[in-house]
Amino acid sequence: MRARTRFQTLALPHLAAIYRLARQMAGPDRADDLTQETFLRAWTYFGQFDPQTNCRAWLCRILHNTWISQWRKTRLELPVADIDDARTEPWYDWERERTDGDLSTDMQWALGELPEAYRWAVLLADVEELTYQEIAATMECPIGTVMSRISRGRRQLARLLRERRGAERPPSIRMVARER
Amino acid sequence: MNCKQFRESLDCYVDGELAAAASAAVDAHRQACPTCNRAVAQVLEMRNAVRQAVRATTPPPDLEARVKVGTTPRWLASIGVARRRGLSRPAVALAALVLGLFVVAAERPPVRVDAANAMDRLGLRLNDSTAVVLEGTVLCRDCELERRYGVKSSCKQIGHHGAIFTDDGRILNLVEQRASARLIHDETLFGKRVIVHGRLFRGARALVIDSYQLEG
Repeated sequence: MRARTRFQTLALPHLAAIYRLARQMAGPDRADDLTQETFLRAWTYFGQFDPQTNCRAWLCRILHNTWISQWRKTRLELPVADIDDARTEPWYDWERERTDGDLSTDMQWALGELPEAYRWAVLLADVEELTYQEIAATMECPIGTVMSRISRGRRQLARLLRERRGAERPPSIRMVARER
Repeated sequence: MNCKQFRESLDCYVDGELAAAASAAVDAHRQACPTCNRAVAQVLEMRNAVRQAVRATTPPPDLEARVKVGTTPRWLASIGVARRRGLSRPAVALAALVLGLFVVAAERPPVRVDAANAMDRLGLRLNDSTAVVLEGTVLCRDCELERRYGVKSSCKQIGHHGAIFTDDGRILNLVEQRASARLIHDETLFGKRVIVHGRLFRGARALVIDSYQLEG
């Protein structure tokens, strides 16, 4: 009973955060299920949670694992190393002035186009505001990989937005290979 | 610091991941170079735009309740259900008290090891198999347990596992043998009525099948 109360005070306030992350990664139709599954697992392993650490980061890690084991395999995607980086310019060329109007819709689209590894890194850094250390633990990769994923992810987002809002046409390469 | 070095550490700088000395070097370069200074603003804007777009979505209003149900022990949830069905607080309290007495009564002192072994041996003898003919429905055991009790099944990963569900509510496991292989592994039989001839090991709730007939 005490554990349950602790769970509800420590973990449950992050429901909205986990949901919006789940929605970005699994889509609106499956976000509910992924969120529920994440919290069910979190509850199962709540005994292993160290209250001295960031509960949101811990939940993000469980979400990532759940997503890897059950959700990711329904979608085929090129590994990020295979993506042609030459198309990603080394500089941000994106300015707010050019992007008048509602940016959120285009941003949603651009996030959806981003390779999943980049999307995770950008979302964990920009939306959940985790430290690089926490992101590395969540994605189970070295911290250097986190840095490059965040930086490439942001630049690719900038390029996608510029192409969409500037030329009003979809980008010439799509990162998603195909839907199964 | 030159512009190239600045660009390499731009994201770390914006995310507050640089050590104090490196961060000071970036600060100094920003003061001197308007282009790089604007780049910082651009990354910050990008970050805000991502944040705004993603945070605009909110979970469905009933999701929290559903998550709570998933993390509530079943007996506790049933009290909540009883309350919602209009049972008064004293009635629920009385039910809880009776339940509590049962729990206390069930808390017997542990049995000594040799006594436990002796009881096990006696149990095994009492549980000698019996020849049976019984009727039931073939269903996936794990999926049924999931449906009825919320046990998490791994059927999607490792496949289904057929078992016999009798009309009086028992679930009987099938011992893996040639005669039972189809009942266990052929998903197309799930939901069909079956009459089985075999031996029942009551203690293990397991059936060794000699033969069976599907109905319908």
